[in-house]
Amino acid sequence: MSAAASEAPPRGIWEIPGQPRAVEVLQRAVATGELGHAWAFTGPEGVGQEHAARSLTAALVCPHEPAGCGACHPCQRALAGTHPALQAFAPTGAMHRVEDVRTRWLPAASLSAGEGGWKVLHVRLADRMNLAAANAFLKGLEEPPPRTVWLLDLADPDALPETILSRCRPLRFAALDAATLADLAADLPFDDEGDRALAVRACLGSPARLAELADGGLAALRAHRAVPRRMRAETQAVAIEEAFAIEQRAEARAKAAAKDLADQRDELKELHGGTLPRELTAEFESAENRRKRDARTAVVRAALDDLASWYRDVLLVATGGDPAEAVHADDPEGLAADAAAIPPAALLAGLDAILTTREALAANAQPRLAVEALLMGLAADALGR
Amino acid sequence: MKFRAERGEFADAASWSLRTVGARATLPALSGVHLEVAEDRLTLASTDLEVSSELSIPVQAERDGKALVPGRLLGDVVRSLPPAAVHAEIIDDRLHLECGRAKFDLRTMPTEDYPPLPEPDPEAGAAVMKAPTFSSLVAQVARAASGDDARPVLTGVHLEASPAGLIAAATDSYRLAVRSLSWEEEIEGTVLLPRRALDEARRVADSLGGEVRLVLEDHQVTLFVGDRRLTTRLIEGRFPDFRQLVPTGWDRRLNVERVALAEVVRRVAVVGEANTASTPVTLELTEDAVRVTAGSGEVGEADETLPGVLEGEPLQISFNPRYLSDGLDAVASDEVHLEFRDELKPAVVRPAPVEGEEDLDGDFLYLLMPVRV
Repeated sequence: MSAAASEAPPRGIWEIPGQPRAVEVLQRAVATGELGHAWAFTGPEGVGQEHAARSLTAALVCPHEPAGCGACHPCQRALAGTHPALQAFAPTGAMHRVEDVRTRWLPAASLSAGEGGWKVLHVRLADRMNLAAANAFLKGLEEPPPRTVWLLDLADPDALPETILSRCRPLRFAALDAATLADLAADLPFDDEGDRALAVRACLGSPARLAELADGGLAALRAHRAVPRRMRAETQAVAIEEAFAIEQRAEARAKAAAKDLADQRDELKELHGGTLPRELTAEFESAENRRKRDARTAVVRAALDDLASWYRDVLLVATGGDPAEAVHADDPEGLAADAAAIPPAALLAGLDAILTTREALAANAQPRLAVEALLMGLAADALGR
Repeated sequence: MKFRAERGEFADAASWSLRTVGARATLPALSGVHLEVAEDRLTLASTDLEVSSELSIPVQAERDGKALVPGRLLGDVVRSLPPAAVHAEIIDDRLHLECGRAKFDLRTMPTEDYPPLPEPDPEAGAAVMKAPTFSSLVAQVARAASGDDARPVLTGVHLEASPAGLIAAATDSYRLAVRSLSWEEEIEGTVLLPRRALDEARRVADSLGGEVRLVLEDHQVTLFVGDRRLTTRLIEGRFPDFRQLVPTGWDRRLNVERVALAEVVRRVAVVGEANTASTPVTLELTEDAVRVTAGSGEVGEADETLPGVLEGEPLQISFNPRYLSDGLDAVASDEVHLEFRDELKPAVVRPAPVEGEEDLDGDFLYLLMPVRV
């Protein structure tokens, strides 16, 4: 079940913005027939791995010469993510579990190739395998069936045992550069060019975050970066208010994600004659929790990233840097005001605290309490107490 | 698409097609049954991407065409129709059904995501078996396959086909079932089949009778029963070299009444099951009797003796009761031979040959590992 499937606009084969090297390596591997049986797509989440998996599938199942015409029925289904040769595995809960590996991944690999003559098995968020899952998966990697390619998305390769990594060919997916992001932003709806430019800088290389900024507007981002100023002008209660506002946004996003999923489930239920097949019921249940958690985390993380980039910019200005080079270059007065009010040591401590909170969230800290505690701490620093 | 069909045939066909519709969140089209009318026949097809099915029924076609219809809904509707001719027509993206005074209007599904269904190569090697032969072969062998997905190779049934005959085998590494039969056919190949397709084909063979045609290709196997077809993908990987496991002779051989022994094993095993499901039963073989015991001092003990003729030295040997009774159930003959080396080496169950009677079991053997106690 893929969130990416609905988000990505239809794109041509190998049209993967900002990843010319990855595209070249994969195309050459297909052309020379030296595809190997496992690839580690390393790099930040969501910078083209999904479309790379689809393009690779299209290139493998296309009956034409040269393969990967992008126009025939097999190519089109591969690019839409609906070709049977491509199977994607998302974590069932927070992690990929050993049962998933045994009952879904390995049987999929051991079945002979169907239509198209290939199997492309794409493990999303593969760094979220726990150790038992990794060990079970290793057995599958050790005896690869013919015409089977595993693709592992790895934001953090160190999270996997070396025994798995050493069996995969690494392929770097780079964080997207400013020019690529600007190209992407050109097709997205922003209120004005100023917002567009700010979103390109503030998304920190993530096309998903860029799309969110286009979707939801930049008001939240402006609220986040104004927190130190508002705390100075008003009281520390701003910290509690803003933590609450962030939580509200996170809940709203989680609800929207759950609703999308419920709509998809109802549609499938209808197609299956009013009763959802048992395997799908279980899949949707675990997907709902995961999607809600991911949606919440994305909102809170974005807030922390906004604050962190703001603090970095303030530090830049405080140490005599050019505000035009800042992420928040659109608000030089705000940067100057905070730079004057907050001592550099407090800025550094603040940045540190933000990053620590980000990590705590990854380790399942309660988002609202964590953000509230962080903002209270920042308030104390910002007010110079 | 516009046609007239007999309700009974249409309903049977639709409900059979439902057995292989797929449930995938990313590919909702798999929940559909694909209908195609051409040359006065309606072909119904479906796939879950492992097994696909196809059958066709005669219809009076007014207009040829294709459509993908939600499978469960179609099945439910057609089954509920009164016994009369069914008129069906696709208008825009709706399927209209009329039968007597009942009218239904079902939505159809877009076909762009629907995968093309696999077809057997008409040049591929094929062999024909009688339906009851096929059924008994599947029933005898498939029971030894493993239900544990972690080792996919052991979940399948291994088929070795040659112009002289077929050898089917399955093992879960605790027991092994092998059945062979002779034929003269133009076929050659070795495949490992997922159990599901065989079980489905057996179900059809049991209800329709007639013949089963097996078509072997290196990446898929097709089974035709009457006008119904099942095509399955295969399991890849190396099947254990099972011939090497089968002992070439025996030191002791027990001749015993099959049903009697199976009943005793089941009865005695009840005590063992109170401990754990795999508590072994022990067989004490003497010249003219088999004593079966199970259990321990704690929960209770069971003990029963039945007549049996032993060739060779007395022996005491223990088995998992379920594996033993599975082996006895797989045979149809009145008497069985149990062949042993010693208490640690695998035992073999074979039907005892009866002269002058029809051989229902063919060349069958069931090997099982003893339990060390």
